[in-house]
Amino acid sequence: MYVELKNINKNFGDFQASKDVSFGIEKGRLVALLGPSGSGKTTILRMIAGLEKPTSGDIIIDGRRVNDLSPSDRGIGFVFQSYALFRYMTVYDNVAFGLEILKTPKNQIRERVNELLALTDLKGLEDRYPNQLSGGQRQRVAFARALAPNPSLLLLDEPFAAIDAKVRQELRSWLREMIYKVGITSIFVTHDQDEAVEVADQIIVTNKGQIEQIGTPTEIYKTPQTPFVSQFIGQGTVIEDYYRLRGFEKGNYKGAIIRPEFVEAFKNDNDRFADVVGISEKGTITDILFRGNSLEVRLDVEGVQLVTHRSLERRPIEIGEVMNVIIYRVYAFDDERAYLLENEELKKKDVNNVHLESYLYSNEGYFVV
Amino acid sequence: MSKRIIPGFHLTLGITITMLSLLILIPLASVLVYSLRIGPAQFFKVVTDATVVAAFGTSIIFSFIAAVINTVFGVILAWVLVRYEFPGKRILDGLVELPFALPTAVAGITLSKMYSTTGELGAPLAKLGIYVSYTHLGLTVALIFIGIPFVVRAIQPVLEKFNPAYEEAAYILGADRRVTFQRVILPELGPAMLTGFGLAFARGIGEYGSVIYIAGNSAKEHTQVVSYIIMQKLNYLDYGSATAIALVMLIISFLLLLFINIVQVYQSRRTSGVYEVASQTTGDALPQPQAGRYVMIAVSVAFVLLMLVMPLLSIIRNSLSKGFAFYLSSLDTQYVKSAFAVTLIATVLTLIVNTFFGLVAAWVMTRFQFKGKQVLATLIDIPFSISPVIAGLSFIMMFGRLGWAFPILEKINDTFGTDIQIVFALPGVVLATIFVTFPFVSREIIPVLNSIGTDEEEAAALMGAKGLTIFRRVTLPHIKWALIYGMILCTARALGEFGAVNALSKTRGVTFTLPLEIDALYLAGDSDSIVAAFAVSSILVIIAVFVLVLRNFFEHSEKQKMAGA
Ligand SMILES: Nc1ncnc2c1ncn2[C@@H]1O[C@H](COP(=O)(O)OP(=O)(O)O)[C@@H](O)[C@H]1O
Ligand SMILES: [Mg+2]
Repeated sequence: MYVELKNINKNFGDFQASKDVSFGIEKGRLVALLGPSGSGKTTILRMIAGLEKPTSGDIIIDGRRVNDLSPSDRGIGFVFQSYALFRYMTVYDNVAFGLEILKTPKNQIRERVNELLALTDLKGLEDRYPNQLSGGQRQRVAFARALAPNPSLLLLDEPFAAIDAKVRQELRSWLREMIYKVGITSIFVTHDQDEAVEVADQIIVTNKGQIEQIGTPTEIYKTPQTPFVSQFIGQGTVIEDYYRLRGFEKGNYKGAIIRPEFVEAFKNDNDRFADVVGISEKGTITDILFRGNSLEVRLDVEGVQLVTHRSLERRPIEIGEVMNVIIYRVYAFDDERAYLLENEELKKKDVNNVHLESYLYSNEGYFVV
Repeated sequence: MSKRIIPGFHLTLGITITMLSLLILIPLASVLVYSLRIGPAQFFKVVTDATVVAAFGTSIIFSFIAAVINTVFGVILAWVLVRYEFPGKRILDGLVELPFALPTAVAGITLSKMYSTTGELGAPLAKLGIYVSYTHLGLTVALIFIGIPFVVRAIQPVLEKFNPAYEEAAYILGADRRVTFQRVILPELGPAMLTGFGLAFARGIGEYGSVIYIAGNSAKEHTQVVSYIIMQKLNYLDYGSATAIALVMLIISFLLLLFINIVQVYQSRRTSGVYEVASQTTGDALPQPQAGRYVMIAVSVAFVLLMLVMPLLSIIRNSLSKGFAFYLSSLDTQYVKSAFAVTLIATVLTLIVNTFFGLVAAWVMTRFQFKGKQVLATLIDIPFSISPVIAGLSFIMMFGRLGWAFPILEKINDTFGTDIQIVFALPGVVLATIFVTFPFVSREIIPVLNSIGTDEEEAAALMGAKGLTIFRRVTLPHIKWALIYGMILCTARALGEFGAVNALSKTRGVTFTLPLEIDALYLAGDSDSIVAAFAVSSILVIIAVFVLVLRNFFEHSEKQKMAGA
């Protein structure tokens, strides 16, 4: 493990911002700390950086316990949420600052700064001041400034928060590529699951100062282990009496999360679903919302309110229409954990998902559906 | 330009420009016109006169020195007030404002007495061979006294908004406290420091009340300040010289204002767009050397105790030095009662006029974009940076026997059989008081109006609300505290105005205000009169302290409201 946190606790007065946080990160990984606002992500990042002292626990970077090392001795680079570029320094001076502090000879500074400006595509902007740059350019300057002294761990706090939604998409892939190009172990904080899934190769989910789950984006998405993760990831709705749905039995659970993609609603005459019509149940469309690239369909099934998405390519539907509905699976949960429950009848029928699933994850409905 | 949604542009702009012209610009122009009348040769002769040049030298040099000292202590005080928590911090914060609230004449006689060879501080210092009163040192002390709030109040808000991430960014990159301060914090504070410095400097050059008692006013010792010279020329009825010197002073003030404006433009060039609000406090792992912190707090407290609290206590002590019965009897004279009445009338009228102007001007300055707005803003601020003596002079040159408006006034009196007097009469006192406190209310409201934006008013306007309704229902609740505070500050300054009124009021017991009465008592020189002067002063001190407490209260409730929002 390149970075390791062992039983970290952090108190601000009476308030506990980190509760027994432990995790390890391998060298070269790009890790996301994902959680809702106020869940303690920034606090963890700042403790790794040395900007906050943990109340108890150890922080280990590259085999060394760094608790008592100052930030500048930890070999880290930090990109602040609002970048904190020095407003009275040019782009060049911002990037050169850390090297000047290290008393690097002038010509080497020039060389390194030019190299970084080329890498971050900022050539020609050396003499600009931060307020003469776009949001994306500022992010790149902050990135270059953090990398200048050659850190071996890069920490980024909400690196996309200060950027317009439009360019954010672009910058995500840019940052991902850039980090792999530089080959630096990186941890970034985000509250946006799309961002985490898209950029990171490992996700640490935080909630109320605790770590909920650690895993690859797919693991987090497909096998949420806690009630919190099953609700936080995806657009699931919580349903208490899920056992009223066909194919599910009452167990020792408090409720279940059903994501839209777990629900299939099809018309009676749809050939594709001919062999499963028998195990479907009736659901009435109560509302249809246009979501740009798809429809969000709300259904009433046996008094249970469900949500599913429907491709615009499929046949039109209307409010009040009765559909056949199959629920593939749900995440049931108790107080502690989340459990994946498959539709029993579907399982018995042995059509198990194979074609439904391939249907589901294809571009949906070809033409006749 | 798109059609304005918010109503009242033409009306408020019209009122603003009319009031500004009548009350400030035309009187000031009268000085200009008269000084040009004396001819270039005479003008040159007056302003190059050895005494005048020496006075300019004295005013500029010692105001500069005081402003530099104030900038150093201002940064320390602002830093301590923003960054550290310690018991009594709010009191310290309130005390910094004392020189704004305390009448300059009261400050003047107090400092002069305190630092005289028999005074609380003067006596021990004299033993060490250091003489303060009636020397350049005394002059500097008085100028430090009146200048400190300008610097602190300029730096404080910048430091409050200062994002701690800047410091942390530097720290992560390996910079130590010194380098971080020099390269990251100082550039951020620079413009505010220069603004504070400029304001303190400008105020110092024009200062009258607080310096004339302690400066010595000796031509030989070069302890005469420019305001004193103007006043002297006025007393000799040498209006030509007075206006010529005033003109030079006006030019200097104007240049300083220009300098401050340029600094602010430069600042917004670097910071606009990357403006951000501090979202958190600095991390607990940042080095905050305890020793340094205690030294900073100690320096701040010592500065405030020595420069601001000691004078305050000295007033009380002096006023009671002949017993409480004497204290009461010295307040119970015909002169004091008359002065009290005059002061009250002038203050109430000033408050009405300036509050009305403040609201109208703030509305036009924050709700509309128009050509020449910056110029208008600068013009409104003029009374801040010019000597109060020039304010008095302006009205003499307008309505006095030699003023251009005098014949008009005569004609009116002839036609209507009235006997309206302005100069050396109550109206002059009122006009002078209005002049010097003119921007006080608008200055408090403008930042608040700017920060809340125009969305709510536009919404109300779109729903068909009329101008006055919008103002009363939407705007007023937002600016209530700022308005009240501006009015309190205006009241405090109006009660204590000295230099301007001094030039325009000559009859004790008739047109004298409280500060003039204090001046008369103090200059009488016998020990009874001096104690009486302090007794009268103590009333103004109580009002000043009351103002500080109110300010503190309002600011606190405002902050709590913001925190709750
Ligand atoms: N310096 C501090 N003092 C007091 N409370 C703090 C401080 N920093 C963070 N907190 C609290 O700790 C919690 C977690 O904060 P943070 O780590 O910034 O969350 P996140 O980055 O996930 O939004 C919040 O409730 C916040 O109010
Ligand atoms: Mg955060």
